[in-house]
Amino acid sequence: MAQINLLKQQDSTSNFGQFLPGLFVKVLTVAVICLFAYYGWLFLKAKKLVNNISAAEKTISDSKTQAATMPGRDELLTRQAQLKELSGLISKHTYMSQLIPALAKVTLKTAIYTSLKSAGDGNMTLSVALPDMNELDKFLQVFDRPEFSKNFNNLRIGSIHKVQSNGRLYYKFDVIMTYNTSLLNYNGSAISK
Amino acid sequence: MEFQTSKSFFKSTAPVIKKSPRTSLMEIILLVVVIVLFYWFIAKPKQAEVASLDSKYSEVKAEAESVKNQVEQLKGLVQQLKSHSKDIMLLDEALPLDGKITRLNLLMNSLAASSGVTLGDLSLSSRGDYISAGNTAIINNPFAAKRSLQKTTVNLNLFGNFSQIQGFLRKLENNGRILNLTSVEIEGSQDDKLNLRLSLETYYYE
Repeated sequence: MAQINLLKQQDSTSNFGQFLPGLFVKVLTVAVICLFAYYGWLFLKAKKLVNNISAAEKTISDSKTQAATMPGRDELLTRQAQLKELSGLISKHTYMSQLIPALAKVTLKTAIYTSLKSAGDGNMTLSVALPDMNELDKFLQVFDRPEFSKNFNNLRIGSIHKVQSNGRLYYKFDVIMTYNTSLLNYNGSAISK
Repeated sequence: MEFQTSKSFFKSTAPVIKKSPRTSLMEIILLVVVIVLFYWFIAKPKQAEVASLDSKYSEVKAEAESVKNQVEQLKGLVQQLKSHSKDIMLLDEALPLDGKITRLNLLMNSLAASSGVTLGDLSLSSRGDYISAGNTAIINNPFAAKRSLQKTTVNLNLFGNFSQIQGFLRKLENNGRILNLTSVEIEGSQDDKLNLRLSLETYYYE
């Protein structure tokens, strides 16, 4: 009678089924070992980093102490601040002497200035003497010309007085005017002689 | 008669431990649990800690390098300062480190004399609490004291002809010391002379 071996067919699958959990266990065991090793590596790395940070912080602290106690440092800082203040002052420095030649350019030859007051704020008061009314008119007309009014403008005249000086009659008056403050900026001509 | 060899004896008598599928499954589950818990509660926080420390170290290292460079730069600047004594003199002339009014008085007299003008009144006013001499803070350590920009106001009255007055004004404006004219008044006077009244500000860093 023919016998059918049914067990043999089941053998390979049951072997594989028995083998697979063991393989999993081995793989997972290796994974656990690797994980422990990884943790160990992290632990050592963290320790090393902490040491490195401490060393770097010490370097910073030492460098700061060295900088703070360096001879000449205080003088250097003072000089830097002094220079900074000076730069600010130089940029605001004005040359009021440049106002006089600029004013001379717009003044008639017959006009006599008896006083000049300026506070550097763009306003100026002049006391002017002129021989007659025609000259006074010409004096004022000059400031209506654009090339001159750009520097001196908004002239306001007070009362006009007739005065005698050195045997001659003059019309004397005060003029308040506005001048262009850029005239006070350095233009290279105000060099000490 | 046949005797069993030790090898065959053990082979035949050693108990064969067969793992049941349930035991293997338990092991797998246990290992997976160990892996997950270890990773989640121990390795992962450590990983984060290391990442944070690494980032901090990079920052601290960069700062240490920067501070070190700054110290080197400072050393260089101190050396440069020592080798520029002439420039320091000019700087001290332009903006002195003290507000001694005697020096300013001498300067005004010298400028007036060199321009040919006659100096009349001269008044100098500085801040009220200014210590003219014996400032212990500055004597003990001249550069450690806290300083700020201070102002001295000068009012002066002088006489001269037009060119002398103009020369004086130019010398004032171009002087090595910063002298800022704040007000100018020119008036005719006797003998063809002009009277110049000036207000000016000068500064010191103390």
